Parts: sequence; C-alpha cells; structure tokens
Amino acid sequence: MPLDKKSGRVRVGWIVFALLAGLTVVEFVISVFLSANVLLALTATAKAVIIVYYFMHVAQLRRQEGHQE
Amino acid sequence: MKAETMTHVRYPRLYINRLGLWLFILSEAMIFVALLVTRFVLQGSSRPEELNQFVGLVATSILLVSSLTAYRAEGAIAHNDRPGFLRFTLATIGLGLLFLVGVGFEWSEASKHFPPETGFGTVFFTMTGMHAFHVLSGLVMLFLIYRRGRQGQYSAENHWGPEAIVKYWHFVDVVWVFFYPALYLVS
Repeated sequence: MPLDKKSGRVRVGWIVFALLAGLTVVEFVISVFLSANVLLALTATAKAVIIVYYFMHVAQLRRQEGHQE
Repeated sequence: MKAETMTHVRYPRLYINRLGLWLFILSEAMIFVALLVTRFVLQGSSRPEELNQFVGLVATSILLVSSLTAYRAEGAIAHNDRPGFLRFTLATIGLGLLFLVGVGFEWSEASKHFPPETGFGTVFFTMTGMHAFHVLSGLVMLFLIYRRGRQGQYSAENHWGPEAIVKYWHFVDVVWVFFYPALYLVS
C-alpha cells in the first residue's frame, strides 16, 4: 500500500510537471504570435492554481491530513 | 485546564503549523502582488527589446524542474526514503543555485541596457531582486533540512520541517510564474 501511494505520488508529480512545462510553452507562443496579455494572465493563473493545489497540497489544510503514524 | 492545552485538544499541532505557514505565505504574497501592480502602473505593458528572452525562459525552466525535485524530496521523506530525500533536496539546491547564477548573468546584461535608474530598470531590478532574495533564503533553509536529514532527524512520522520548506519553495515558484510573463512576455 505505501509503495502504491508513493508511485502514485511520483506519477502525479510528472503529470503536473508536464502540464506546467506545456503551459510555459503556450505562454511563449502567445507572447510571440498573439501578443494577448489577457491570455498570458490566464495561463499564469492556471499554472499557479496547479502548483498550489497539487504541489503545495492546499486541500490538505481543510482535510487536516497528518503525517504517517 | 490551561489555554495552551485546550488549543492542542481542539486543533492538532500539525494543523496549527500548516495554518501558520499558509498565513505567512499569504502575507508574503501581498508584497509580490504590490510589486506586480507597481510594474504595470509605472511602465504599462511595455518592455525593452534588449531583454534576454533566452535567459528568462531558461530560468523559468530551471525553477520549474526544481519544483518537481522539491516535490519528490517531500514525497520521499513521507515514505521513509531518506536517501531519496537527500538526493532530491540536493538536486533542488543545485537548481536553485543555477537559477541565481542565471539572475546574476541577466543583471549584468540588463544593467548595460536599462540601468536601475531608468523606469523599467527600477521595476526589473526590484522585482527580480526581491524574488532572488526569497530564492536565496529558500536555499539556506533547504540546506538546513538537508543537513538535518543527513543526521537522520526526519522520518515518515516527523517531517514537518521538509514539508514547510518545500511549500515555501513552491511559493517562490508561484511568484516567478507571474513575474516571468509580467517582465519578459507582455507587450
């Protein structure tokens, strides 16, 4: 069970990383070809939400998850 | 019953720690929001052509990868994988140092084209300087948890230190997520 949890966590890490990398490329393309600042702001906000939710575990606070006992 | 004891009964210690950290992060975020607003009030959405796009993109990529290694470090210690924790913490420190080298290089370039006395220079050096200072303080704390980790002070049952520092490191990344387009991409 702990091994499953660990590999699941590793998978989430890679997926989130790939998402963030993809959105960074999208940002760059928007800047070069579209010059749309609103789209840039939306992309940056999406990246921030992803980091706060998946990497910073903001939901953990509400659920009051503890360390392993 | 003493007030202190009552607090522990009503709220677990870990919850109080986490809440305190989130409040600290929120108060820090106010400073960066103020800087972001200042950038647009003073300079609108203009940016100099001389801004090194390549350095900006590389710095962003480095910080992004460091967020993944920090996440892996926290996950490793949460599963009692001490060697993994040490390896990923060290990788995060290395990437953080690389980011600072990139900022130093960018500063030397930028000071030739838009020195700190100019409008954009003021905005650029204040924003990147404040952010770099937070990266530096994050690196100091990462080094501290690395040293304590080597001494075997963290485990799956007790890893609040690494959890807090890694959250702080991700926060520094979130700040750059907004600073990067605000400085390098808007037009």
